[in-house]
Amino acid sequence: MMPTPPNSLEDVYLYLIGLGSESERVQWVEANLEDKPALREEVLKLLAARNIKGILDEPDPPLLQAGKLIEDLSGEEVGPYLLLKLLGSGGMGDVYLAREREPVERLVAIKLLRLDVNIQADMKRFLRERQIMGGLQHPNIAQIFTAGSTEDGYSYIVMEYVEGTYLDRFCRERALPLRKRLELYLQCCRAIEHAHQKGVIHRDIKPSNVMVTEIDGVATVKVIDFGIAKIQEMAGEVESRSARSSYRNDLVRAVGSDLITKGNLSPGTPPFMSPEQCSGDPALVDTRSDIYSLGALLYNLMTDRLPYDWEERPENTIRSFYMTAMTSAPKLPSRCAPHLEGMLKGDLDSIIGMAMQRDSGNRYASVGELVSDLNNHLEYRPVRANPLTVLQGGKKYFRRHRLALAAAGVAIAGLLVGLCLALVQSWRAGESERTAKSHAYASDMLLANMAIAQGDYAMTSEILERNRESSFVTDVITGREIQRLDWRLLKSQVPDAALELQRFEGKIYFGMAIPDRDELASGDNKSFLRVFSRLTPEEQRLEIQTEQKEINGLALSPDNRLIATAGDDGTVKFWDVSNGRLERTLRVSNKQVFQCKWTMDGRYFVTVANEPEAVVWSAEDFQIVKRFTSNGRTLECMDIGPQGQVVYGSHDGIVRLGQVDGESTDTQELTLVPYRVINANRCSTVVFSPSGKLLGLGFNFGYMVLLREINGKFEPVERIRFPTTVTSIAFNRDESQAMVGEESGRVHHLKLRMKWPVKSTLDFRSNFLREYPDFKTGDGHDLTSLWDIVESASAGASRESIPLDEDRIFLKFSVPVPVVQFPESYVRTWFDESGESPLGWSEIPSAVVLKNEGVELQFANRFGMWTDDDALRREGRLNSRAPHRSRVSRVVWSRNEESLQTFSEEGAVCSIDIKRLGASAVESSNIMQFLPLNNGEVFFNSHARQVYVLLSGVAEGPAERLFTKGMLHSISSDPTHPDTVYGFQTGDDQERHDQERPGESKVFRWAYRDKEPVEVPLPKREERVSEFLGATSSGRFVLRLLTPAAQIGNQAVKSYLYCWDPKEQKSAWSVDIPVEEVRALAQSRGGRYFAFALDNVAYLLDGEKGELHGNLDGQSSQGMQQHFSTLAFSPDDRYLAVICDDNSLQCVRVSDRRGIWRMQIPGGDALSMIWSRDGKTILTAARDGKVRGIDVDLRQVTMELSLFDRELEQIKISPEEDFLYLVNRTGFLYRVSCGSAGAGNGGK
Amino acid sequence: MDQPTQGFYQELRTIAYSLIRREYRLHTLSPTDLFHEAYVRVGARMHGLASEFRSTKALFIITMRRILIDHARRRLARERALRNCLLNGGKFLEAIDLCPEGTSKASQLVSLDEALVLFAKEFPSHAKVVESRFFGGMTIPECAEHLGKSEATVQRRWEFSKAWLNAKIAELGQ
Repeated sequence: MMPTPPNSLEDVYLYLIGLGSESERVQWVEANLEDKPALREEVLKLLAARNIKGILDEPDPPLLQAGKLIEDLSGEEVGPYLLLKLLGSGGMGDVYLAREREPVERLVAIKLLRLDVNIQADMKRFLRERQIMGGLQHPNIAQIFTAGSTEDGYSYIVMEYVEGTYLDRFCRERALPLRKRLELYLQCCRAIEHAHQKGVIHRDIKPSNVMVTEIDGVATVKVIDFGIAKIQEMAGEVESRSARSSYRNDLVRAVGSDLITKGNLSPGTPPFMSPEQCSGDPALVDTRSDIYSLGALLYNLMTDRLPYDWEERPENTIRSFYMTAMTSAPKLPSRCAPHLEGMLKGDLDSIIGMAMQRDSGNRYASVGELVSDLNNHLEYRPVRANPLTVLQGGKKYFRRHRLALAAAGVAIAGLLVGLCLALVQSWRAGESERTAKSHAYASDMLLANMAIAQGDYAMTSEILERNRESSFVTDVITGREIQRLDWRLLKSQVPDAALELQRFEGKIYFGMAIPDRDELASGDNKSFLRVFSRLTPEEQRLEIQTEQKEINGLALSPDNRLIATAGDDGTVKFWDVSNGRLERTLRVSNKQVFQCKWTMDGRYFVTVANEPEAVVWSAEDFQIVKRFTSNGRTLECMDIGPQGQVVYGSHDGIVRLGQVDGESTDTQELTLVPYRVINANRCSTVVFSPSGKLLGLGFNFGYMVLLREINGKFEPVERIRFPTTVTSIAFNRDESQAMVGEESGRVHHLKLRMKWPVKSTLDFRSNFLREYPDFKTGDGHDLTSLWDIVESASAGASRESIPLDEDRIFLKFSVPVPVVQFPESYVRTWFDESGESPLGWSEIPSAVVLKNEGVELQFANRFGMWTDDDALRREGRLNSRAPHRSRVSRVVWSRNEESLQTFSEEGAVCSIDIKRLGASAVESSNIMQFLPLNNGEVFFNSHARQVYVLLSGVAEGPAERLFTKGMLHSISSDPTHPDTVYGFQTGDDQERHDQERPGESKVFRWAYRDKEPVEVPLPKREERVSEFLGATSSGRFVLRLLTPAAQIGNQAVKSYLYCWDPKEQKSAWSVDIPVEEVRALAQSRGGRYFAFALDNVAYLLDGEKGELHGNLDGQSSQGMQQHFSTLAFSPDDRYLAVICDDNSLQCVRVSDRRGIWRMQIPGGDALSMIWSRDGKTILTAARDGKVRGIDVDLRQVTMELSLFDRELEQIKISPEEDFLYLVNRTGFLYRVSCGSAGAGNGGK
Repeated sequence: MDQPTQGFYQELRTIAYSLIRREYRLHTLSPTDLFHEAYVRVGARMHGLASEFRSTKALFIITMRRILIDHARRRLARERALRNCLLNGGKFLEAIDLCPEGTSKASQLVSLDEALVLFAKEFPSHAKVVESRFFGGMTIPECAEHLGKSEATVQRRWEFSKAWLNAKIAELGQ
């Protein structure tokens, strides 16, 4: 059925293979292709090869193929080892058989790990310190010889190669009887015991970590992988901590939602992991976790099964295991198989049961105990394990012990478990669709939260988007539609993506901006010079093959006419910017030219090549004018300052400064060997700031030093350590910020200090002296300063100054001084060169240690020398992003400074928005009280300087100082005017001179943007106005009065609440209350109700009527004394939320004070809370530094944001809920953007 | 997303997932990076509605090819290292197991790439079929849709291409 004869190779071939037999084919070919020899030959070739089965015949999916290629690294050289064969893989490491050459040729096992850069450096030290390397010598432990990391980024651990079988398989294959198994198991126990004695926890005991090998014919157990789990966990911690700012989990993003529920939080095989290991909190893991695993191992050996009948499947993850483990019990070993019943029942059941207790306190306390019980069993002696403590199970356990779990700080996995249980229960109860909807929303918020924690922002966005409609609710106060706070808060945690502008082949070694055209230029290792617009990057205006082999540096002439490219071929070529024409070629050297630049006046051109000198050329005729030397070391980087200074850095870490113009070739040497680093580090980048007064230097290993010109010389003012080599620095125009690019592809935005500390002093806090007026010095004089009574001090500290570098200062007092051990007694103040101490430049010791009859004050020394990126981030001065995965060659500010362009060796050019994301520190001067207003402004009073300032605007301008007449005791807002603030000052707060009597209390009122407060007259009474609780909506003040000081002594102190109408100058009501200090004060939004705690009773006050109610129902249901942490009203004023110091949250109805519901909050103690305007979310700030969002409908925690590491003490939100404010224990004020609550229906 | 692409991406996801389960450790280009590279180029742009769908698929295919062959070459280099080790004697030879030279997946891939380059010179549109099928992992109908040809045509081209390439690979191997 072939109409026309085929004549193309393809047609012929296809026709022929359609024929039935070989002979037919031959025939046809003979017949039809005789006159086409070429075609015939081809066809025959094809036919001959027809039966070859090639790679195309089994097309595996491409990714899978790629994966297979990579998975086996045999043949690779890792350090001094050659990988021979892949032995096994799992967890976070693959194990290879490798050959070591020196000193002796032998086989070793190498485990390759993927670790964060930070961990790589620490790993070796960690292993050695914990004696894992070399310290753990035991016949049953596979020795770890050494560890290391290669430049390519492999970390590896070299171990004794154990040739044998896994313990479980060994027992199974040989069908060993129970006793034999126990003997092997005991060997394993001995190994663990030895390790525990050395302080090493294994953390990952499972059959595949216990090998059995034959040594001299005897089956010997070797336990492997000691402590590796800890390294992996550390790596996991580092990764998850930085997950927010890094794009580590790209794959997770790509794969999508399935992964989150399948993800693994920590290494280990679920059935052998103790509950505390599953929970993900590393602090809980100790030797008893190993005992649990030993128990599970025994279970496995005895029954040939896994506890809980666990199966290794993708959907079975640690999370699901955790839920299973928490809610059920594994089958008793003796019941696992009929033949085991007799042997195992009783003793072994109990022993395994005791080892596998959920609560680590109920397990064997040591391996020794476990071993002795096993020996007891083997020798038919009674066993210690209590048959009654056999494996427990059931939901009851979980419920009852939820408090314990909560206190143990169960991580998000726990949240999910709780939520799931709640869902399960409510569905069983057949709840309404509306509730089901809120459940769905809540669980989605939880998932979004988990996605953020993993750094999976795409997934977070996806989840949030699909809940956008459900996120709109009615504002209780105004009745408009607003978006829920929890939704907005999560949304604001998703950073804007770095926009990839371009991706080229080839590694970009240098990039720069051409400002007047708003263009960017890049030079790469394929010797291409590319010029493209920043805004429309797809249009490459110029692509020039410069034929210089590789381009190392670029420069723009001051008249913007020429681009110079510095190439590997030893030349610098000059190109016309507008048309790309080559204007001139300058031969600089025989070797590679690294950098080149013009001076700003255009007269000179400086080059730096693979030679130990920097050459200055005249820019007109390119004659060499002079040379700067560097003592024979290769120069790599160079920059030119606006005043004609040149700076260059060399491979030995020495940086030199010279002046381009003039005759002199003298240089100032800056030997900035980083503190505590023995070998000098390569200088990788040097950058002048626009004014030439600042110099930024980047070195290998992440060291960065900022220098400032002080009196003609450059002095270091700040030293920061980043995780990897600092490859690029860029200052913005006003020198308030700098961008730093790293080897790892990370980019950081750093807020520079505008003033630099040059001096530091130490003294008692002035309050302290006032509080103890009876102190005298040794010879009876009044104490005016710390130094009056210091007999001796360490480290050169004295009254005049203490060394900037010092973070520990020891003081010996000549007189005994009380309460000298409290950090709050002291203050360390820094001064800048003008002799002033700017706001916030003071510090309280982080610890005071009593020793040697004196005290040692330990400071965090925030203004001292080295700091690292983590510390800066905590301070709020640093924001980081990882737009690239390999070396950042260059960072460049955009002209309008709203974005940053980054060039990377991976060939990509990205643009990042500078806008704030996450949380930013706003003020760091030991805030005591604060009140957010609208428009990003905050009213606060500060500990250190005792002034009141108003922080203006969203752009974090400096704080404005508003009030100078002493301290304020409290500040509160006017419920009817959100931008009006009341400040209350007691007599003690006023500045006064020593002998003056305390003045009277005052109330000040600031309306929005008033420069001066207005004093509002208070009632003239005998009693002291000791507190100002707030103003009601009708403008009346609720005050607290106390018996005046003069009258105390004979009588009991009287205290009462007093309502004062300042307009009509008369009182409205008064109510007696006990004398204790008012704590946890809250005022309803409408202004009518107040709630506060006096010692262990909570009160509700109706401010209009003056009715006071104590003993709110539900609070003392336990019959215990309650102490209250914080209180908050619902937005409609109908409910009051109460958190006690047992971390329980209760909801009480205002009208009748009945308790409505109660829940337990997991995690650290919640110290402060707010109730959102939509009434749906309660946000708490806790001692563990986390902000938790509680869904009010569901009474579940659905959000947990880890913004900080420090304890959070206060949380407040601006009236329109666009900013969230937090103050932590050291008094830093942070602001988190929540996005705008918005109006409108369901829009964007 | 239209139906064929759904399948395509579903497959990518499944594979990617199976890959990350193993958590590879290569610094330069792990499957994570691999997928990310591809996904970023393709996926991210897919979200940008401006791009034409067909071209992003094409981009993905080219990317995959580059990445795959790049890795194949590296693997080949490693295999050679092991072979050298064997040649140079020394102890522990038994520990290394290597398939005969030229038979490993890596060398087959590299040969395929070389053959494909030659093939594309003579039969450019056929080469596209091979690329889509092999490097893009598409089924015949998906290829047809992507290339704008009938399924029958794609099938024919695929058959022919396979034969030609297999023959060429064998030839190159000698």
